[in-house]
Amino acid sequence: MFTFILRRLLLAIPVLFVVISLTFLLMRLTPGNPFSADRAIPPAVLKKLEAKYQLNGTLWQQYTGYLSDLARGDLRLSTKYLNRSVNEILAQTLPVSATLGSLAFVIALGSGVVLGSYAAVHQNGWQDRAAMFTALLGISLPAFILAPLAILVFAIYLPIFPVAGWGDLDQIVLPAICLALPFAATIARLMRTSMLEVLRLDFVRTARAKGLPEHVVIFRHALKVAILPVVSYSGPLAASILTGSIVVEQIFKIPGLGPFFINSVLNRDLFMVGGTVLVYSVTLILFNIVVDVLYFVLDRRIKLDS
Amino acid sequence: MRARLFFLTSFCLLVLFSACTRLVEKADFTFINGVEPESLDPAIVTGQPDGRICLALFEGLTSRNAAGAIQPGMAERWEISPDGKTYTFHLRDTKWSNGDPVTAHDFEKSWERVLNPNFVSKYAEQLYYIDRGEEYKLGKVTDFKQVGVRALDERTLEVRLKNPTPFFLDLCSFTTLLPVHLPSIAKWGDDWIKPGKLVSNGAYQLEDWRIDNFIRLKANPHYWRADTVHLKIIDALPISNASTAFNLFYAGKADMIIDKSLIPTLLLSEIRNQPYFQANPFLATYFYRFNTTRKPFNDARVRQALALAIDKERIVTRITKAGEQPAGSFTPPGIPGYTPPVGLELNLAKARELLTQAGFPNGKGFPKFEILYNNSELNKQIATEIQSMWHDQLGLQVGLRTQEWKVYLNTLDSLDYDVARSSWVGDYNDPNTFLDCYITDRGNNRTGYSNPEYDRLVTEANTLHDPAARMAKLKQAETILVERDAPIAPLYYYIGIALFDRTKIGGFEPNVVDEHPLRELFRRN
Amino acid sequence: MTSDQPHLLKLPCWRDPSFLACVGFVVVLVIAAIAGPSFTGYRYDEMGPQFSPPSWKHWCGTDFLGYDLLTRLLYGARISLLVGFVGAFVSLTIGVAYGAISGYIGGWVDNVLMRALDVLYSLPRIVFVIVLVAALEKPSNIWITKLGLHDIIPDARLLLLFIGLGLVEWLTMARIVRGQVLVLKELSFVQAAKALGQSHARILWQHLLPNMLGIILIYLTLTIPVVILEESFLSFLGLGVQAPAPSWGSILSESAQYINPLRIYWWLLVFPAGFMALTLLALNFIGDTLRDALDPRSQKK
Repeated sequence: MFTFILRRLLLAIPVLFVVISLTFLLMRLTPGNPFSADRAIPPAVLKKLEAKYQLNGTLWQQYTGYLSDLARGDLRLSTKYLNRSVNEILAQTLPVSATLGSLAFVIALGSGVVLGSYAAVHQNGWQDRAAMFTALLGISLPAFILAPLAILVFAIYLPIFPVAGWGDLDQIVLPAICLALPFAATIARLMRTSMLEVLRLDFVRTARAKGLPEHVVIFRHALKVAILPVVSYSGPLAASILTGSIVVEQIFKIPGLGPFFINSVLNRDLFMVGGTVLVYSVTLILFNIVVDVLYFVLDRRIKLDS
Repeated sequence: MRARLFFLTSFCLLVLFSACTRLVEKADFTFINGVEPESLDPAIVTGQPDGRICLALFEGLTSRNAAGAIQPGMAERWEISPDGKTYTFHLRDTKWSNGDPVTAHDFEKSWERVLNPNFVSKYAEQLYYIDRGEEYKLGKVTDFKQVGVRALDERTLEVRLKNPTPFFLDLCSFTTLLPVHLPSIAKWGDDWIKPGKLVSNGAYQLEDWRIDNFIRLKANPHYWRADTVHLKIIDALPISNASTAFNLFYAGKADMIIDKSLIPTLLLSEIRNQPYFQANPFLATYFYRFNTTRKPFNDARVRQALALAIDKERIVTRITKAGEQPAGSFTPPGIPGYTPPVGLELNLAKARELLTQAGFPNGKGFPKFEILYNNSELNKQIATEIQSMWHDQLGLQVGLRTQEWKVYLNTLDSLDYDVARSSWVGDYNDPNTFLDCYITDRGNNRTGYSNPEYDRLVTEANTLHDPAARMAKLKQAETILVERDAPIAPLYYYIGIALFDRTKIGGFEPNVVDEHPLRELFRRN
Repeated sequence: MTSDQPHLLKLPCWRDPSFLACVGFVVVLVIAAIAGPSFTGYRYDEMGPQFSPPSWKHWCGTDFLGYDLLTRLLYGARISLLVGFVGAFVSLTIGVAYGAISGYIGGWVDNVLMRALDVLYSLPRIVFVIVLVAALEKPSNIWITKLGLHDIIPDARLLLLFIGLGLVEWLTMARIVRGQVLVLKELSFVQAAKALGQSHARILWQHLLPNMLGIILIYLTLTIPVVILEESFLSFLGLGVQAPAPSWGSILSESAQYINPLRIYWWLLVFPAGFMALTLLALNFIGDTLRDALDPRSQKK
């Protein structure tokens, strides 16, 4: 177990290195200057700006300089939001995105598992078809259509939730649901398939034969095994939620990391892009290691049980 | 399993609560300000949303009232020398938000800071009207004593200008010329603009600033007319999505939308009939640039022909729809003492004739070219209309090219385009803020346009002390610009739009500079 | 050559009416996308009256600029399906190559490649597409002009999207193919080919690939909707396919702006969203059904 974690962590280092190098080079070689504005900047000012942000010198010097700063944990200054370091912006926005993301994660997981199991139990019945149709619909419409529609219906026509914003507890519910929806659908489909398989296994039959009530059979016994594919999907799920939150945060005006990422790419805010990509990648890699460990533990327990 | 799930859920909820609890007072007034400000340092800011907050925090020698007119600010009165070149400002006895007195030295030092060759300010040019200001910035003069700013005593500031600059009092209210509290900059360094550190002299002080979330302003008790400031706590929300902004306003979560880019353009025809719609023309022009260094746009007749074939009326009625006026001139109307030239109006017969003269009868032989615009719905729609006008009326093959903002700016600067969409917002209430752009090699020229006669007229005009003679010369220059040489084709004058309930909010007056000081606003009961 | 999998066309799902309906819909849509735009009577950039609701003249109404919505939707179908197919195809090529090599060679190579895949799985890949599209648009435009390819590829974005989205979505394909190869390479006919001294490339190409066609096709159907959805996501961010010809993504991101409390031009929302949802629904359904049908475990109903 320990060597497994260690190996994964070691493997992550070259990957992060490639990720950062690619991002840096792409952003640096692309046309568009981080400092250009609709009013022209005198060349002397531009030179000073480049010096201030360590974007002078050869590309190699800039690159190695940046890497050594990163190694020391300094993500440098944002070129767009003056006097703000990338570390500071991340510190303010990442907890927000993380909160929204983890709630969406829980919702997606919870509702997906329930819906999928339900459909599996009623295999080929109308409940199954309805649940799977809903799930298919959930992954057939982009979030940027679903979210404004949800706002219109649940915040304006029926004023149950606030239209946008962040800070109060009720402001998080609607965006989290909108963010979770497509993933809940995916999980439901996944859950249905795996539940169907498990329900045919011997130990479920034994449990039924023992005369246990159906819901106990499903939720106590079958679920434990059937959830394994969902657990291993939760790594990619976290990645998708992270990207999905870019849209949801923008539409619901949530001060998270998503909008900053998009704007920083468009503004050529080099170090902000670098910092965001790095944080995204590190978060997800760590999360995946946790998921793998969890999978391992669950899997072993099941094997021990049977 | 179940216990574990319970633990997990409660942990998540705990995280939620800790992230969400916000125990703050409700603001008296909440407005939607546009994009997140890049900075609140008045010497650095360039954007309108940033400027709006800066003008609430700081006050210059002069300031604008609700009608946009210049009135005394930190200076209670001033004298101007007969040649119009020396201004003597007498400051009032007033304090910074931390209790320090506001002195003439503060102004001298703040301006020195902007003009310091090592200080990066994109707007430092606003101080080049001061004698030797430009030379100091460029390092040609190293002693600041030679620059035309001097604090005669604590409360008297003398400013010597290069030329009589009739719009100098306007400039004094502009962000770049606002005073900053130097002791706190010395103490905090770049961090001085953050809440708890920023010391201001305007109507408000900075209470809180959460990035991309909100900025909270609180009335400054030391402000010299603090008793006239009605709204004590103001929240400014940074929003960049027009639909979100409108939803918040519609649901009553915001009292005002003040940024024109935040009105959903697709809905303008609906919104403009609403009682809360407020529009006024202001000093900004939407126009097309021609790359005068590229064939066939190096021929003035071609540029004229293209400009003459644009049906501007159709653009404002079909697309912009907020009541914009079609533009003939680059300088919008409304500047006192200046009537802009008529410019080139729709005249298809003449357009075709000019094109024939230039060697392209019925557009034959005219190379295929592209309209460049930065990525936005509005720009796309206008470009599409113009594309079809030029195609249908002149027989030209026109393509569209969109680029995102930074790439687009890069393309403009490197003159790597044929025709490009642009806009220009005046910085002060004078034609010079528009006409100065097209002097040869100016950074904002971006067309490669160069005409010594135009350069001479604009430069000469600014040495004149007599306003009427000066305006006449400027008009002469602009006539060359928009009628004879046509390196640009103005399309329409912008309209400043705000959404708010007039029966609830007062102190907001339409004006050509599109500035609406927060300190003037009040709630009607 | 033997195969343990039933032939795709002989699966029982071809008797399922909803499956047939989905296949029919996709076929009609592809035909409409190819031929339709010339039959609606409008060019996609032809301006008529603004905001006119659906009528005999304009079946799906017109939009803000007075464009005929149906024409634009059909054009959009062309572009979106193109992006979907080509993107999925790129991902298929990479995925099959990667998975086949990994599975066929096996050993430590397989181990390293699969661990790398695990890490890639955990990265926010679409984020790189965003950076890629933003960064390479102008340079690739310059290259397209230089190489005189302007008539074939009018817009560099399209090219970048093909590559970018393909690069994003190949991981699942690689895993599936590897799994298949691992099973297949132990089978007797492959072993026999090996014994006969056939080259590895030949074995992969002639024996393994044909046997995996079914599963590859299924994942292709499942990748297309994902790629279409991703293109629309990029369109919303302003990085999708560019004017003048619209994609569904760009039409829909415009529709999103019409969702407001004041006045909804319902046809501008319902038709684009309906077209897109139905198409993705159909493609997903086809893929799902085929997968279930091919999966031996789910046949013991």
